[in-house]
Amino acid sequence: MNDFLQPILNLAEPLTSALLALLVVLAIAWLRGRPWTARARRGAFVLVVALFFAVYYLVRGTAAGARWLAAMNTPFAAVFLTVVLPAMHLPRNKWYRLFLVWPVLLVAIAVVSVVDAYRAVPGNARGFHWILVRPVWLIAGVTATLVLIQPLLRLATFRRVVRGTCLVVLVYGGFALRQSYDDYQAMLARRKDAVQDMMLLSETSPVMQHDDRLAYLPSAPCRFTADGGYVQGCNLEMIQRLMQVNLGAVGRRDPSAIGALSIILGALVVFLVFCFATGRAACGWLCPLSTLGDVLNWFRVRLGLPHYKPAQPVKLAALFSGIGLGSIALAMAKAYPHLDAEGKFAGCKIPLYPFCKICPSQQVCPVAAHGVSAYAGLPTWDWGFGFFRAACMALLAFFALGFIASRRLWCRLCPMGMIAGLFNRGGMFRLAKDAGKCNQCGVCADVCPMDIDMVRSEMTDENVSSFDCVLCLKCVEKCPRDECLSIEHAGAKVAESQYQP
Amino acid sequence: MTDAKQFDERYRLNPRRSDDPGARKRSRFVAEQQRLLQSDLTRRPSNIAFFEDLLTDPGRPDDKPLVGYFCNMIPIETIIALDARPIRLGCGNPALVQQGEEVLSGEICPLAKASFAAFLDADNPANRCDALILPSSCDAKRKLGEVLADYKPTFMFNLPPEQDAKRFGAVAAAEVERMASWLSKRLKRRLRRSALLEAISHTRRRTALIRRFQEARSAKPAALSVRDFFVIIQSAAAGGDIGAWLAEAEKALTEVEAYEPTRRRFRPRIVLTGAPMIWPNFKVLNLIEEARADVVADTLCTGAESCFDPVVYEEKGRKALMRALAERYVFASPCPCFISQGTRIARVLDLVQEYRADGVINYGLRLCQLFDMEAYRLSRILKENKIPFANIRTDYSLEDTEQLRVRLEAFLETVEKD
Amino acid sequence: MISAGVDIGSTTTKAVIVGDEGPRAAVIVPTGNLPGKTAVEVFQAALSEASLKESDVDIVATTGYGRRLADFGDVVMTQIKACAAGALAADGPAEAIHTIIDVGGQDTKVIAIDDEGDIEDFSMNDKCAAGTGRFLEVLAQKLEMPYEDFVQEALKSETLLQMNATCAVFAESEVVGLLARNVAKCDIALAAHNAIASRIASMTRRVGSRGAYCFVGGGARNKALVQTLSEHLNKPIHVPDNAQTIVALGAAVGARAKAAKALERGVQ
Repeated sequence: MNDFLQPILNLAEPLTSALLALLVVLAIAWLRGRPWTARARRGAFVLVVALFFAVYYLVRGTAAGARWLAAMNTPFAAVFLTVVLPAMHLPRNKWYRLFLVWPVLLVAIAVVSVVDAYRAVPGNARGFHWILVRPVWLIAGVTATLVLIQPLLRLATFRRVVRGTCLVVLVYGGFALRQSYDDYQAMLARRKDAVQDMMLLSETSPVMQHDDRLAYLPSAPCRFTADGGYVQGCNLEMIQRLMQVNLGAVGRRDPSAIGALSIILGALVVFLVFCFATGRAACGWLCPLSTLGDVLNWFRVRLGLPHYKPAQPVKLAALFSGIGLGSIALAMAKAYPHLDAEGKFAGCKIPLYPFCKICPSQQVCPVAAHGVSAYAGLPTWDWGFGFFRAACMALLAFFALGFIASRRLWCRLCPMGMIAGLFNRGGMFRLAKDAGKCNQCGVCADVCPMDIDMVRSEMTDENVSSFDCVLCLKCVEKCPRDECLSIEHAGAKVAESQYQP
Repeated sequence: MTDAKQFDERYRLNPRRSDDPGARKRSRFVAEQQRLLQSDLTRRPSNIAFFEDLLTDPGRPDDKPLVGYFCNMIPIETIIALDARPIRLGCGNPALVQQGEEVLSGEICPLAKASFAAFLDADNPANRCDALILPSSCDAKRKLGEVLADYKPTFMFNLPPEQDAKRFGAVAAAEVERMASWLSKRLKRRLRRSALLEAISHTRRRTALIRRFQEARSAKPAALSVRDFFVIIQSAAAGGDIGAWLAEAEKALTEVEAYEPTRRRFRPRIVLTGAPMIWPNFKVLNLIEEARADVVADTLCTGAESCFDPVVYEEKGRKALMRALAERYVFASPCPCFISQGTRIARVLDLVQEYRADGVINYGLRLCQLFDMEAYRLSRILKENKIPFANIRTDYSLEDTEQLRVRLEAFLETVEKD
Repeated sequence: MISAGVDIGSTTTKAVIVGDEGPRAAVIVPTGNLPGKTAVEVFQAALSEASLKESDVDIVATTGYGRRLADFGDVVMTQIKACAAGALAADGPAEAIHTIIDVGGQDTKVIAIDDEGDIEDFSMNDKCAAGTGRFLEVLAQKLEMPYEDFVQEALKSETLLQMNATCAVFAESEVVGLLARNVAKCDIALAAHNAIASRIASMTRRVGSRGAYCFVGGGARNKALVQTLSEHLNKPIHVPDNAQTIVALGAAVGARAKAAKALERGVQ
């Protein structure tokens, strides 16, 4: 099947470029503001995309250009451009049904890819754990399926389906995602020799064609979850790796150092592009850590207990703690090139990934994926004069209590969410409110898991997006006044509040 | 929770009763006149008599305790969940206004005078109540509570002065809890969450029906007269069985939605705003429809707005439900007793735009300062938005009917575009 | 085209017939107890004054409180619309009329007109008779004078006396008190006029009036009232010649416009 698809994939390669994704989202935002006719706008858009394709193939002709582009390509961009963006922006008329053929096709290809790879596994090695699906088809297939079922479901159900799917794929899917059976065996072999807790850069990235392509979701499919899968590796790991790059070696034009730096920077650019394109929506819909946390929250809801509403000082304390701890961890990561033989810097024992060592995800995700036996334990007291153990316990407690007693208190501390949150106002998503329809009943503020009051209280500005908003759309779902609240993506209305009898 | 002790027991008075048989006759006459007037309407739901009978006298179909309440801010789901029947006691009968003036001052709200007078007659349905709940909405209600406390065990439900859910949300939810506790003790029953959830599902169904009625009416005003619409809405709170009301309303709605107009409707489309119009005080509605105009939407707490907002909840814990009730009944309330004119003006403007209205009529009840004072700013803002506006200020009595008719007809003449 | 307007008021009923060149006839009779019958009579009287038959009239409009009692009319119009139409149709001052004050037997209306001649806002005092012609009639009776003499006396007075009562019935007792203190009748008459002129002026300002004032209705024949009102409004007031029949004239004019429009659209 790969031979059949290869030429098509080669032609469609620019679609996997994060640069194209960035260009498209910016073009959409800009064109919508123009007072041109629809036809002129469409023409301008096609022209821009065609120009990009031309430039892309030109640059790809050069060796350095090819490498650089390759570092930034990711199947996420292709899925975003061809499935997600059209699903949000295309008008829901009869032509929309024509567009739906494409996601159906992707799902079909994904299924065929699974069957294909499974058949290639030797007979005696077949079993549930080795359902092999190339990451790109997994991502494409899952996204396509979600897009197909969205119009059929109510917002609440759709949210549950998406979050559940992301939890399964990102926490449990890792061990299933391999290029091929041989690749899986090779990875197992590598891991036997590898340094404890350390994975190669290339192992934590979805691969489409070349080996040095990276993509990071702006959330926490923690790489400590399973045996190393292609959808794992959070952007904070990337930032830590960025800190760890030996700038001296880069200055000396060391090819491997330059290669690592370019890969990391490429991945971070991709991350930033997706943050701009989706704001903090990944927190609300994708993040498996929050989904696991909500499982804890469910117990409280089931018992009928009220939730703890954090006062403003508590919210600020969480925010600054997150920034503070993150900064400390990254500063420690910066010390990596200067660690001595015992792994110490100025007498302080610093781990390879300082942030991961205190992050609750490293504690929680392996257990979620593999059960209690996979639990690696808390960091010992000797790391960082006990800082790591203390901070890890504190954060774990905060995570657990935050989700059990409150709704999403943890998310106010999470540094990954903060980066995405910066794009909530000014990014492509916009939570809009028609104040003329609002009677300030307060239902939106009551159901908000982040305890945001601005949606209720803002009566002059139409834009009620805020830094803390995870775009879960609970407010839009529950608002009893038609068309009062809506979520827009680059001006296209994706969902709006509607009275549910 | 301890007993409310909101009224001083030391000064409890013997409830005064009336020995005037004429008052009962007069009030019955007024109600019958209105019913007769409406019986001439061309298109009425076939089961409209069910709703009219509820308004005239809901009767006492079973021995469930009756809890009387005023206004739109009392979460009646708590009453229903305690297996009691809620009955909205605001009175709209001009004959009772006159009777009330014999005891209370004449310079107070007609609604207060009439509602008080209902208690003077021992046979009036108001006297069947086992308890009364009044919100501290306007001055009249606050003081009416003190007067009525001599007649029935009364609870004053305190409201915040501003509809700010952030500052007063917890307090309002606590007040709902306090009310539920008081009622629970008085009726000697426990408030169970399952019963509360069931009651909420009933009122949500009522909201769904009223919204559908509203949509059908504004699209085809000939399908249902606004007077019948108000009869249907107000009969829901008249103390009958809510299940029966839901069933009958569903039937009536089917008829209304099935109606297909035979020709275009040329009548002016009006949005009605202002003070409560309680059956049989339909004087202004009579005049509007007799002048051949249609009320396509209204913001009245005794009209569509009384049932327009559903109770929205996500979590089902007791505290969460109390909060949800407070949000719906306190913070979504359209009453001007709160410092909240912005929402009311926005609602009027939104309705004018959504239902393509030709003008707005504000019904100001004489001696009601809340609506009277708001009329000034409302008229200026509507003028700025180039929306024709008429302020009709009157009380329950029928003596100025013809004068109002001239005024309304003149307003409609200016609204018409030839 | 010939149109007719019949104003069935509480005190008097008026009929005006208007042809293409202008008003042809105007008749005023007291309404009495049977307004419907009176309307027919006054219409016939106007027809005979204009030497016309009923079939010559193309359209008839009725207005006033009894407008629905006369069933021979083709169009029913409120007094507000008719009054505005009539005042604008009558001879006016050089400056365009923007406010019309109509003091009738038992009600007083103030109508504000915009630049296009459409009604912008209006106010009626219809809850009680203070500020209407009835107030002056009652007081004239109390002073035991015919109404015309009452008006003349008011014009004679130079003293400004304040009357406290606004209610016509309470004012009667106040007059008794004033007479007992030997206050001159002309002063009382002027005070009465000032009392209602003040109320009418308040009403006018509440309506947000501006521009030239036009004073119509029965009260407009009262020169003392015109004078005092003009003082209270601090502006000259124009009183058209046919002040009392202006509403009926307006009804006729309005009916013409309606008929012309209908003919334009091809409806008979």
